[in-house]
Amino acid sequence: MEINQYSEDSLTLEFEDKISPEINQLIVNLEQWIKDQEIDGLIETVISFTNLLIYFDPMKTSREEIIKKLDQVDFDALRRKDLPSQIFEIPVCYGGKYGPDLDLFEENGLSPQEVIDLHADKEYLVYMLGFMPGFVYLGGLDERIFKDRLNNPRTNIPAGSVGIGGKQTGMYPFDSPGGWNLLGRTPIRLYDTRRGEDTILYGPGDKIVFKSITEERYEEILQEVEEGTYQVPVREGNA
Amino acid sequence: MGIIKVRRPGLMSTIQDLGRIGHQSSGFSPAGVCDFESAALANYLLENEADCAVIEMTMQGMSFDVLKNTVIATAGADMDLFINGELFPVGRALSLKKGDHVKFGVVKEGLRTYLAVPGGFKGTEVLGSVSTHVRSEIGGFKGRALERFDILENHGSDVQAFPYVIKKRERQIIRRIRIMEGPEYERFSEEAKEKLVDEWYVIQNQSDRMGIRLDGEAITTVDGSHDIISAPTQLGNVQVPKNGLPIILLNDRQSSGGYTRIATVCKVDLLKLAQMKPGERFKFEMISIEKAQDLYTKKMNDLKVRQAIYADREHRHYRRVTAERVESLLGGAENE
Repeated sequence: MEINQYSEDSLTLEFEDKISPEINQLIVNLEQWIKDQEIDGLIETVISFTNLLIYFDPMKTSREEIIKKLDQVDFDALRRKDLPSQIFEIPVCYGGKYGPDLDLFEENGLSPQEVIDLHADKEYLVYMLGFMPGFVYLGGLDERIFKDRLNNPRTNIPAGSVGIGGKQTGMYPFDSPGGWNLLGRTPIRLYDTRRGEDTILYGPGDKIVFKSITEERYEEILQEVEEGTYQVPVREGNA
Repeated sequence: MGIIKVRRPGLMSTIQDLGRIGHQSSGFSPAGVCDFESAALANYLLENEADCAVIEMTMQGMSFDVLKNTVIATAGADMDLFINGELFPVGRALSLKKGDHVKFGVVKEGLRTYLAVPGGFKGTEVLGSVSTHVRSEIGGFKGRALERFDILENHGSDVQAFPYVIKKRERQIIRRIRIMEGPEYERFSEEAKEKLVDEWYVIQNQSDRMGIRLDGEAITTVDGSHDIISAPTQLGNVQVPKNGLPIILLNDRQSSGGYTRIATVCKVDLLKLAQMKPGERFKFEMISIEKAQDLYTKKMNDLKVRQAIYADREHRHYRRVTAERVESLLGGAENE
């Protein structure tokens, strides 16, 4: 790991330049360790595939003080430490009007049902969020359903859409233009300010499992979400 | 009860505070005021805290009807400011009466003017901030820029204008924007590094609160690839995509990005950039991180002790003098 400073109020911890669950585990554990130190003047930490950014208030603390803290880190222990991850079950209605691109996987030699079987009920690791609030970069997609983005991106993809873009699968928390192949849609609100601090449910190090539901169940859950009675199923899980 | 009702919203007027801090890991753009110094000064004129929500007006100011007796303060870019048709300067607190009509003009110098009201504007709070992020439609007033007939509310009830004035800054033509080496600095060719600081860059029209797009000499990496594994973006990152034309990331930027970052603009010069218009040009100048940090802490200390504000004894009567003149014109001729 290298520690570099690129702005007046931050340090960037740079890890190996590749995407791997092991690096993610170390970064997530390290972030938790830093938060536990309750450093006066620490403003925010930001996680990505290979970086951990630490923002601080240079009026209250300094680069040197934070580096001194980091000297105490037992990296081997953090590498071995289980992630405090939560596994979120996201209900998805695959195909039909919600997943107009399911048929395109014929090019991959797969029927719509085979695509669903390869996509649902798998644990995907949340490496990081970015692009828009709640947008996840997930790892673990089966390579048989890798699929290039559409040649003509859609001008509007409805919030809740679940799709595949290249080697990535993910969900759109907001209506947005985009070129992903759409497999289905979730009736839950990925961004919901009614949840307060949990406006976005998941964070780096958590896991997501897509659960196939019928159109009927989709409508039911939509209603429950509207009324605020639907709870997204979540369980504790370890890496 | 509302404080103002928008008549004309101007080009891009949004409610902003100091930004949505602490949620970039969830994909939130920080948003917030682009010129944190001017926004803080506008607030200080009213003895508000620096983080009270203000309206950031861009290029063309707004006009509004005043719905209750109150006081406003302005700072930042110089705009004409008319109250019931009479001209007042930016950079002061001004008392207003219910029914007054306030109208800002086009910027004369700078780009962004800040409007503060007692206690700050109310807005939709999302994760501890009311800053508007237009792209994801959150915060502020219905998650969007202000529109005609919007009625805004505020938190305070002061009606008296403090006699504070913001010192006039020396009019300076900005030619240098100071930067520090960015995470991918070493991926760029020697030629590119030289061009970056030797050539003029011009601010393009498509610039907005997400980023300032530059026109000028294209710069490239040694191997021609401008991609990185998605990493957190930072305020002031000088991002260089495949076409080689730098983009300076501002407050509404996406929280992560996938392009090489050759440099980062130092915070005190972001204040200058926030006030530069499309078409203006400048050169980059490389400085050390230590120097940037010194400049920043000095700026923050000056701001904390309100170094740029002084009390003006004449100011207290600013409006009354005017009002008396109007009265004398309307029939008090014997006073002449």
